[in-house]
Order: sequence, then C-alpha cells, then structure tokens
Amino acid sequence: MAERVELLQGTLDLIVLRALSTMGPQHAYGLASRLEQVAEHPLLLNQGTLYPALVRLEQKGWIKGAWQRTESNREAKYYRITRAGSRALEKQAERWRRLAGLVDKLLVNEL
Amino acid sequence: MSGLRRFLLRISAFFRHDAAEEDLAREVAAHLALLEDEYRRRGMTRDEATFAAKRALGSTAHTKDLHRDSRSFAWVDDLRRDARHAARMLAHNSSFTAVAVLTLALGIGANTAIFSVVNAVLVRPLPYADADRLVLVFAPTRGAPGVSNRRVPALFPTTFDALRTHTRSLSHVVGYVQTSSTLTGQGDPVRLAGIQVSAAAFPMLGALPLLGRTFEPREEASGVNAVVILSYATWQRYFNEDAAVVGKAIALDGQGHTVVGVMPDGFTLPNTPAQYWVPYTLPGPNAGAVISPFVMARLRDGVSRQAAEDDVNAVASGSAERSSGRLYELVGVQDEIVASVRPALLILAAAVGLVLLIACVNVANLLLARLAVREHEMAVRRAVGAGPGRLIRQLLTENVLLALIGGAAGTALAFGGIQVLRVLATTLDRRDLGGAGVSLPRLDEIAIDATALTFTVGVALLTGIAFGLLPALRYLRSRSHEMDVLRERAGSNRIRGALVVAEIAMAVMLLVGGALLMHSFLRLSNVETGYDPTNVITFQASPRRSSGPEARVFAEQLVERLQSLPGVSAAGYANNLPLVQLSFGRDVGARPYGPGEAPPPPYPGLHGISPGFVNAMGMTVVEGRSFTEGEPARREALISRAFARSGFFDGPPVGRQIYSGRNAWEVVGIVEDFRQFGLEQQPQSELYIIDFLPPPPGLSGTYFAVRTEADPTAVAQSARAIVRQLDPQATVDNIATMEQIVSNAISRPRLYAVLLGIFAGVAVALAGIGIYGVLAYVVAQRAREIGIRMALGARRAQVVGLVLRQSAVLTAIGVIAGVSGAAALSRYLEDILFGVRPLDPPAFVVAAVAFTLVALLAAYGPARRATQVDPLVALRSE
Repeated sequence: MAERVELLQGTLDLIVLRALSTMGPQHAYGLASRLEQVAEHPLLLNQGTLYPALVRLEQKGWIKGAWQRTESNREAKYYRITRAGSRALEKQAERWRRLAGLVDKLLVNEL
Repeated sequence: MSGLRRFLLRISAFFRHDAAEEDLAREVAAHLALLEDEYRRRGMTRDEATFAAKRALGSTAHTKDLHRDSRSFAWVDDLRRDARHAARMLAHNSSFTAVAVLTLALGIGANTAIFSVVNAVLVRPLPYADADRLVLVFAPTRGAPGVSNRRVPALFPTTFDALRTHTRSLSHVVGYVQTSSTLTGQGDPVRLAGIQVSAAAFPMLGALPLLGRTFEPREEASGVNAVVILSYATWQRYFNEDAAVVGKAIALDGQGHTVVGVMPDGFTLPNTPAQYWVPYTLPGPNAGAVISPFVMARLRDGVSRQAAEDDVNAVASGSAERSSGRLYELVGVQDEIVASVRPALLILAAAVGLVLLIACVNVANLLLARLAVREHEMAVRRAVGAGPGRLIRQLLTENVLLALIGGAAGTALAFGGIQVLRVLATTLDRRDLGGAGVSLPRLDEIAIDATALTFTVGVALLTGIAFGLLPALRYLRSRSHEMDVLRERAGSNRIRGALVVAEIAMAVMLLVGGALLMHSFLRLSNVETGYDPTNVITFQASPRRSSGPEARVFAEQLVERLQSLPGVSAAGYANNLPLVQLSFGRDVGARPYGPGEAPPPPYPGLHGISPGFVNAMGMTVVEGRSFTEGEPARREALISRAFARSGFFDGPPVGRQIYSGRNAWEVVGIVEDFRQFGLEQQPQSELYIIDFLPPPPGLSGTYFAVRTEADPTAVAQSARAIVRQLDPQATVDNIATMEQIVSNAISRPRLYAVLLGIFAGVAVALAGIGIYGVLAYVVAQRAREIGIRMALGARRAQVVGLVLRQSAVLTAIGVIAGVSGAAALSRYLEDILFGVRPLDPPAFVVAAVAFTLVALLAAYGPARRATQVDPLVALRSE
C-alpha cells in the first residue's frame, strides 16, 4: 500500500482550484479521480475528505456548485471555478511556488 | 473579504441547517453512485462495487461531520445537540427542574420588576425634548428657625420676569402657578385643577397639541381675551372628544374662555398633572396678595448648569430674595422629581440583587448535589471520548437553559409584580397632599418594556453561567483525584456548607433590613398626630364665588346644616387640613409692630377655622381652654406646643397677646402639635384663629371636617346634597376620611417596608430550601452510618440531634455573619428610617430569632427522615 501523504493545509484547496481551472466543471467524484491520477496513487485519501474543501471554497465564493446530469445520466453537483476563484488560484499558486522553492533550498542546504 | 463572507455564510448555514443537510446527503449519494458505476465498469459485481465505493469514499457519517464543521461552526452544532440533550435532562428530573426554575423565577422576576421601576423612574429621561437640559430655579430659602425649610422652586414674579428678560444662558424661562376653577355648562358643575403657565412652556418641552394650537406670548397679557387648552382626559370626559370644541367658548368660574387647543393623551408639565391650562399673567404692580410662580427653564445648548446658575445669580442679584446673601440654585427637573425616592430605590435594587444571589447559590447547590448523582453519566461520556471542555460545555448549556426557563417564568412573575406594585403605590389622586403623598413619582411610566426584557435575558444568561460554572469547575477538579472518592465527598459537602452559610447570611441581612423598615413604619403609624383621625370625613367645597362675603356665608351655612345631620357630633371648616402641603404664613409678633417694621421669626402657620373645627378634628387642648362660644372667640387664639416652646413668648404663653398688623388675639390655650407636612416631620409653630380665610386660587375650595358617631363615609352623600341645595353651582371635591389622609401620608414608607419585607421573605424561603437541600443530601449520604448507629442502639433523639447539630452549626455561622453584615450596612437605610436607629436592637433580635426558627423548620424534615432509616436496608445497600 502506498504511503499516505499528509496534505498540507491549503494544498487541497489549491489542487481543487487548479483542477477546476484546467478541466472545467467537475463533480466531487471527478475531482477525486483526478486527484488520484495526479498523485499516481490510488486511495491516497478518502474521497469524503474533499467535501470540507468544497464547502470552504464555495463559501469563499471561489467555486460555485450546481446540480446537473452526468454523461451516464446520473445527477451530480458540478463545481466550476468563479472569476474570484481564478484570481485566488493565481495568487495562491504564486505563493506556493515561492514557498516550495524556499523549502527546497532549505532542504538542499541542510544536506 | 472572503473571510467575512465565509463567516456570514457559516452563520446563515446554521439557520439553513436542514436544507444543507439534505443537499449534502444528495451529493454524497450521487458520489457513491458514480463510484459504483466506475467499479462495475471495471467488472465488479453489484455488491462488490457498492462495498468498494463506500470504502473509497470513507465513512459517510464522518464525511458529513467534516462537511458540517466546515459549513457552519462545530460548536454551534454541538450547542444544538447540547440544548436538546439538556432539555431532555431537565424534563427527566422534573422535581429538580421545578425547584430550580421556581427559585430562579423568584430571583430573576424580582430583579426584572425592580429594574423596570428603577429604569422608568430614575434612568429613563422625562418624556420631553432635551429633558436633561430642563431645570427648576430655587430661590434662596429664608431658613429662619421654626419655619418650614422646604425648598420650593418659586420666585417673586419680578425675579421671574427679570430672569426671562435678561439671562442669556437659558433658552426658555417658564413660570407656572396652580389654579382651579369650576366648569359649568357641561353637565353638573365640576371643579377642575388647572395650571397657569407661560406660553413658552409648550415649545420648551417640545409639546405639540393634538388639536388646535398652544398659547401665543401675547395671550399672557392681562386684558386679552381669555383662552384655555384642555387636557386629553378633560376633552374626553366633558366634551365627548368633540373635535369642533376648538374655537368654542367654555365657562370657567362663570367666565368665558375660548378653547384654543387640546393636548395629547398623557401630556403634563413635569410631575404637575392638570385638567386644563391657561396663560400665566404677571401680576401688575398694584396686585394685592402676590403668588410666587414656580420657575422652570431650559439651558441653552452648550451651557453648563453651573454657568447658567452664575448667570441667574448675576441677573437676580438685586432682588428681594437675595437679601439673605444666599444664592439661587438650578436643579435638574428629573433629579428634583426623583430625589426623594432615589436612595430607597437603590436600596431596593441592592436588595433584589441579594435575592438573586441567594437564588443562584441555591441552584448551584442543587446542581452540586446532582453532579454527585451524575458522576456515572459523566464517566460514560468521558469513556466514549468526550473531552473535558466538551463536558463542561454540556453542563453550562444545561444551566443556561435552566436559567432561561427561569428567566421566562420570572418575566411572568415580574408582570404580575408590577401590577401589584401599581396597586400598592397608588395614592389619593389630589395635588393638595403634595409630593410626600405620592409613593412613587412617574408611576404611570413603569412597565416591563424591551429594555427590561433585555435586562432579564442578560441576567438569566449571566446567572446561568455564574451558578453553572461552580459545578463545572468542581467537576474539573474532581477529575484530578477520581480515586479519592471519600475525600471528594467531604470536600463537596464543605463547599455546599459554605454556600448555605453565605445564603443564610444574605437572607438574614435582608431580614434585618425588612425588620428595620417594618419597625420604622410601625413607629410612624403610631406617631402622635395631635388630633383624632377616626370617624372624621373631610372634603372641599367651592361655591360659585369662592371668595368674598358670599363664600363665608356659604361655609357658615354648610357647617350649620352638617352639624344638624343625624349621627354627626361636630362639623367645622378650615383653610387647611393636617398633612395638606400648604402653609399660610403671616408675620406675627409678640408686641404690636408698626408699618415697615418686621417681627422676628418664627412665622407660624396660620389656620383660620370655625369654632366647630376643634371638635370635628378632635384636637387636644393640653393647656388652657378652647375657644369660647360666640363672637368674643374672634379675639382668641390657640397655639401649637411647638409654637409655645419656640421662645416667641418670654414666659407662659396662655393669656398673652399675638399681634399681626392691626389684629390682635389672646392666646387662650395650647393644643397638641400637628405634623402639618408629614408624620415624619418635626412639629412646627401653628396658630389657630376663628376666621374664614378664603382658599388660594389653586385649591378646590374650603376644607370641611365632619365628625360622626359611626361610619363617616355615610355622610358624604348628604353633604353633597346640602351643598347642591345651598348653591347649585357649587362643587364638592376630594372626599376622604382623615384616616385615609393619614394612611396616604405614610404610603411611601409603607411601600418600602412591604417591598423589602417581600424580598426578605423570599430570601428566607430560599435559604430555608437551601438548608433543607443540604441536610437531605447529607442524610441520604450518611444513611449507612446512621443505620449502623441505630443498629448499635442510638436513640431517635440522638439521630435527630445529629442532623440538627449540623443544621445548627450552619445556621449559627450564617446568622452571625448576616447580623454582622447587616450591622455594617444598615446605616445606608438611615435616610428612610423614622424613629428607629440603624442598629435598632429589636429589629436585629427579631430577624435572628425568626431566621433560626425557619432554619429549625427546614431541618425538621431531613431529621425526621434520618430517624426512619431502616438499619437493615441501609447496611445492605452497599
């Protein structure tokens, strides 16, 4: 079994925003599948853990959910990124890149 | 920005809880369905797919919990659950809940009621524009010995005019004088109480008429057509709410007055009710007796009271009133109105605060006892993962819920209490008895309003937290040494004992306060009045012409007719009755004084009476004799003891002459003192002569007193009929027995005594419940020990003694603490005590003994229960 990666606070939000921004509207299941693909590990997290992130993002006004039909004619709540969400994504991504660079450097220097 | 938005959404999510839950359930179901589709596509069977889908999603309950936490506030959801649980707990333990709710209802209800009173009377501004800028102008008092030193906000008309014309710090200066007149032409003639008032009064108070207009300044000039403004009640009662009354002429004392306006319901000048208003006209330079108007003013915006006072004193520096060298004073209207009741209301507020504290202690005690019972429940909850914070929150929720229910019940009690208070505080509705005859100013404004309800909710929440915190903390501490059960119990009893002692001490303090006021009230009601108030009925009658020879003839004839009524033993008239707040001063001297000479004080109050009045009022002649029969009596005078002792006469007064202008009277006797201005006041110099002195214009006529052999109220009807026969235009007013008038004069101390008595009673009852609760708990706890003792041969009396001893220790400590506390605090009652010192031994003894008896009574039940312990059952139970 793959080692579980503890997602850093805020990482999940960023991933969701990024996924919605590149893939267009998605339902929670779609997002979960996408996450698994990216992580290259199945069952990295309980798919249920997505929900708090979705609520949080929706309340912040960064994504917006609406009930629609899937290709298989099942109903599902599709989330799309809002304009505010896109702006937030840019800002957050930039922050992460900087932070990640910093951490990388620190780790390298430590070695 | 998005943080705030999210916060608001979380709040709204709390209220849309059900809708959100449903949406979530739907979303989770859809998610599972999609997962299942995927797994089946990969070739799983239906069951396998369902299982795999569930595993992939994780626990749906957990998912929903996570969702809820993010969506709303976790604690809000907990609160919802806690509240539901708490409600179940309270419903389950109905007897505990009933006692706790009743206790809290008494404490919170009393506080809500008194808060409403304090808020309406002391705090809330008077219902006028810029009410805080309204002031009364007090003249420097003469302050001579033997003369009433009551400050009256009345100025010489000339001073008033000077202030109105020359001060710059006052935006309005208003004079007003009480008046009254007979309204005819609208059914039976009626005597109406009116006010002569400056036109500026209405704009100063921001008062607009309901109909018509208020006065114009030119209408103050004498000789201008007479105008009148009606009160709403007058308009309603005598004019059938006829809107066309404005512009019509009505007859007041037979003179035509044009109605220019009607004021809205409830409008009065501050603390000065009236049935109509007429303009105040400055008396001309040749006017005879001059009445000093009351003077009210409004400070100009931005001017301090002190600056205005300096201004007033500068303007009035040349006036006759300033001759004494003292200064004019400006006093806030509201301050003046409530000054006489402020200390007592604050004391009552403190007293109900104590009652609430006692209630809290009581409930905390009950909760502590229950916590011991709930140890098991708490342990289970802890075992399934509730943290200490979570458990304390649960306890607090229960307590706050309890307090809120108590608060709701208390509010209902308070509504009832305010009704009772209105009845208790209602006094005779007549203005000649003055402010002291009114037990609470602004009584009509007292109601339980939104402010009071907010206060109640606040108090309920605070008490819920206060009395709930103790058991919660107790619970926290108990966790640290869970194993040490025995020690734990001992500690818990110590705390509960301390609480009961505190409760007893507070209750005893209130009881001492109540006893002091009660004793003071008894003293006051047994004060030597100087007359015999039983079987005397009094009234005022005013003939069509209230002054001049006709008025005198009317009075003489009326007295004669009254005396001949069956069952009447004496009747008389007077210009004044005891306890009527009027003084008819006249400068008198022990030797003749020439014009321009002024005799030294005292200036006695002058009573012009008919010979029959002495017997009708039951005045006691303590030295000399009463008036002779017939005409020579007009040269005779009676004086009060205080006058006799005042040093006015050098030597024995009987047989001496008293001079006033061209009049002289011989003192033939000394009568027992009246306390003219209140039973609590020192007697003053009074002078009684046989004369008809016409009533001043503000009065509803001459006073008549009739002494009867039986129930005096039966005479009232006959008196009315006689008056009507003598003069169809005459009016009869203010019918009251002397007993009613005396009772009315002490209505305020009676109200205080009754209220504090009620609070003390509630406090004692609560403390009694507290003692009972602790002892009952102790007996239950020690049942095994008691059983063993009984098995070993302890007698009933010994078992009872065991319990009573415990109660006696608590009671003794509490009573001693309470008595000491009362001794330290009772001096704050000094101002409202009469003839009783704050350290009055009887009050302290009575309170201590009474409480001890209550404590014994409270201990009796548990003690009896202890003797009924069955040793066998007790021994087997553990």
